[in-house]
Amino acid sequence: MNPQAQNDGDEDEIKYLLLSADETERLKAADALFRTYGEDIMRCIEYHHPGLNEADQEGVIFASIERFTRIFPADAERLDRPLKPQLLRTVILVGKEKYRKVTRTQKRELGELLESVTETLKDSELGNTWHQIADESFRQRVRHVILQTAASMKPRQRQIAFWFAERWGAELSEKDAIQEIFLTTNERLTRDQFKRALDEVRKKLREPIINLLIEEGLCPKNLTLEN
Amino acid sequence: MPEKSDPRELAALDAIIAFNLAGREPDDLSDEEILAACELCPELSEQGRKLLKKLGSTPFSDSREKPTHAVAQSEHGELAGMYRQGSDEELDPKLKAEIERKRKEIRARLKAKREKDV
Repeated sequence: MNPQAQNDGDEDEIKYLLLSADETERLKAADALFRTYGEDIMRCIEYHHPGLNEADQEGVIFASIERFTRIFPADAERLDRPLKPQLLRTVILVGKEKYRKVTRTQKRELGELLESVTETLKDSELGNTWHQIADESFRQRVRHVILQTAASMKPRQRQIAFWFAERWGAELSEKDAIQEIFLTTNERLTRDQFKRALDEVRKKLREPIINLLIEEGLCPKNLTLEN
Repeated sequence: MPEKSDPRELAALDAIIAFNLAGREPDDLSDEEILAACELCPELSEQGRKLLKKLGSTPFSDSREKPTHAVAQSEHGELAGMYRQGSDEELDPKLKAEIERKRKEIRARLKAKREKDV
């Protein structure tokens, strides 16, 4: 049997259990989801929510699968779609809630972030170029390289990268970031340590994009690779 | 090429980074985009592997018998909500019919598969 057919068979088994009205069957569905996608779930937690300790990671695994088991049968549109992306979406959402709870931070409105991004872009040559790029595949390449760079970072650096991205355009307080890292990892960085780490993270994220812009002949003259 | 970047250009570059790392909610991403992003996740760490091993192969059934995962249960209150008796009663009749149709369809597929495997 080819792996895809095997996978489809597993999906059917799990969906069948998920759609059951019987409590024991649904527990079996939750266990089957854990056995089938546990590694993907854990990788997703480690990437998207760096800094969470083992107990919190365990909490995210349980809460995500429990929530998914509840929402899956409640929406007819979900029934024919593959389970894995739907489940991982729930993992990311639940992980965000857990992370905010641990760090005692509020969800930032996405519109606020986008407004700051737009505002910043319009004042620059790069921003004008970016808006004029008709080639969507180039934007996708940039996105891919950013996500890939974040994936190659150590967990602490990735935590700082997400902190930096999520609060872009807001008051960036080093004190808050240091506290956030302390609340998740129990390690208190000095301001110097944090500043150095943030500089390194920014440099790592910027470099591959500048290289891409240079390759495509789209790099503004006043933007250069730092030494 | 200049030695130093214009701060406005650097800010624009950082804005592009911020947008790509944090500018979309998971709910707005397609299934394909979620899978592509998760493909990029690094390999599982040793600690992650240990945690999965510690949880065993039937953590949900086990936790039902011995509620050892008190943190997850009390904080999210979802075990109780998800497995409550009679939850199907709250479903819309159309959705219930759709679920029943889907179960029949899957049951037929599974039966065919098992007969083929024998």
